[in-house]
Amino acid sequence: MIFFFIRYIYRIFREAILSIKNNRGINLITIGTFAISMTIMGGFLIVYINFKAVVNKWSEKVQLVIYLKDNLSIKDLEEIKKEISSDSGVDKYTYISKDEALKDFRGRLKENSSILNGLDTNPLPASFIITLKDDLRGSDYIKRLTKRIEGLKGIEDTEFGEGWIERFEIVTLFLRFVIIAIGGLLTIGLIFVVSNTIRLSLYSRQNEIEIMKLVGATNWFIRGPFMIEGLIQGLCGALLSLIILYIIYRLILFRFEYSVAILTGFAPIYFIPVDMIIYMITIGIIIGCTGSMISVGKFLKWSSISRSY
Amino acid sequence: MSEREDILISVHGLYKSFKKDSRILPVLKGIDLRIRRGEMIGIVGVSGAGKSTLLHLLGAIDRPSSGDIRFDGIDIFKMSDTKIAEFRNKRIGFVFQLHHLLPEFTSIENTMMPALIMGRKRNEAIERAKQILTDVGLRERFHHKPGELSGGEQQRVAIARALVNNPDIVLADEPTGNLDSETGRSIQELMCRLNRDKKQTFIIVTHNETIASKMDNILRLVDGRIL
Repeated sequence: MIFFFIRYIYRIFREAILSIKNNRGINLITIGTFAISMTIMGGFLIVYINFKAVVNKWSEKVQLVIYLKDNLSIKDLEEIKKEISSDSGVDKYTYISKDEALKDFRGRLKENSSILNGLDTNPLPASFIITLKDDLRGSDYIKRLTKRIEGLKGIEDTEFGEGWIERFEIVTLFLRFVIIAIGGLLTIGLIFVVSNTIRLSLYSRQNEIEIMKLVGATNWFIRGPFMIEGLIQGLCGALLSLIILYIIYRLILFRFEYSVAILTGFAPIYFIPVDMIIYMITIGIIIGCTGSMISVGKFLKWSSISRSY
Repeated sequence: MSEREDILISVHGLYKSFKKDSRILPVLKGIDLRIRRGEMIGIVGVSGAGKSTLLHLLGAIDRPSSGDIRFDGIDIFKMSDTKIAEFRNKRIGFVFQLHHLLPEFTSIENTMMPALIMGRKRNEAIERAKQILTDVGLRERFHHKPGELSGGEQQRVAIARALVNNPDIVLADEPTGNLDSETGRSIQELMCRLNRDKKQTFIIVTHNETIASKMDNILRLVDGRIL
């Protein structure tokens, strides 16, 4: 049984390679279609990945500031600290004492800092500055956290730029929607174009399928080489598209580095990460393989053969 | 060998209809038939009489609406698709009007295809193909592709391919249909010789009365029935 299986695998690979050699034109067209479609998809993926990175960078500005009352007991301060550090959504937090706040303020005023000399008391409150984890920087979470902290003893005020966060959320939600919609349409287009190309390439080989059936080949015997052929087409198409994408990526970095940097707020521009590359290759292989299998299946029905006589 | 054992194919009450634009079109209307081993049978009739349909059913390419075909006593339509494919590969050879050769492959490769499917070793299949191609007079054409062969030569390759697995029967649909009369006659003589020398059973669908007259037996199909 195993011997038979190995012989079968060997045969379908040999036949597939022979067939690619014999049908070079059709294969090049199919691989080209694959490559172009996947380049468009991949280009889109790059835009999406970088969009996400930029959004992430912007959202780092989302901070929650908690102003504390003066003359807070150490016990109350520890209580607030404990509450903040125990929250699972908090990425990091810093405590700024009254003195530090004044020093900071002086630093910002620079040469005008002399106006503060007349002060006999420090009017600035002590505070905590909290940064949240990437995926929890929405207004809902911040509002909830703020509410909980405001309930504690010794809180003077809280601030997180509510209006800014809400506008930012609407904009990113809209952009995300646009990106998903375009991505979805592109995916449907890709499947449509690729499956049609495979079917067209098989039309010209319908005769071959019929002959194989007439001389007594089973369906899997006929399907096998076509599936391997589809697999190779998908693999080549995906690899080709990655090469094209990488060249375009390098070109953009090289030629338009400065203008792109302004667009992205000086965030670095990323290429498709390795795990996504593996996904793209896998998707190419799966579409090629199953596309061929389904298309050949249509020609394997006897009705399509009998009709031709 | 008794008369009964000598029967290769028996057909009982074979009906076949096709559906066309929601109308049912009966093509075969009750065929009963017995074919003996080593017989050479011609099926004649006007076009649309059901000749090709009958041949397709005999070769298990299509399934009947009702009735059965027994091959050595075994009902072929009770077999699974895989078994039918195996049966077709081992026991039936097809020759069609259009040569139906793979254009990218040489005469030898085309001829050995059924042997490879049967699971023979490559070298064995090549030897067998060479032997059969020599039998049909193509010793000089082993490594030619169909495009480099004449119509008659292409049909000889098709016959060689039909014979490579030593089938019980060869089914031929208008094998001389698109050949000139001289070439057609030589193909027909080749089939007669194979029938005589190798006791090969043939069923040949033809329009050509001259060819039909050389057969052991002629079945005339008129409007889906045998006259």
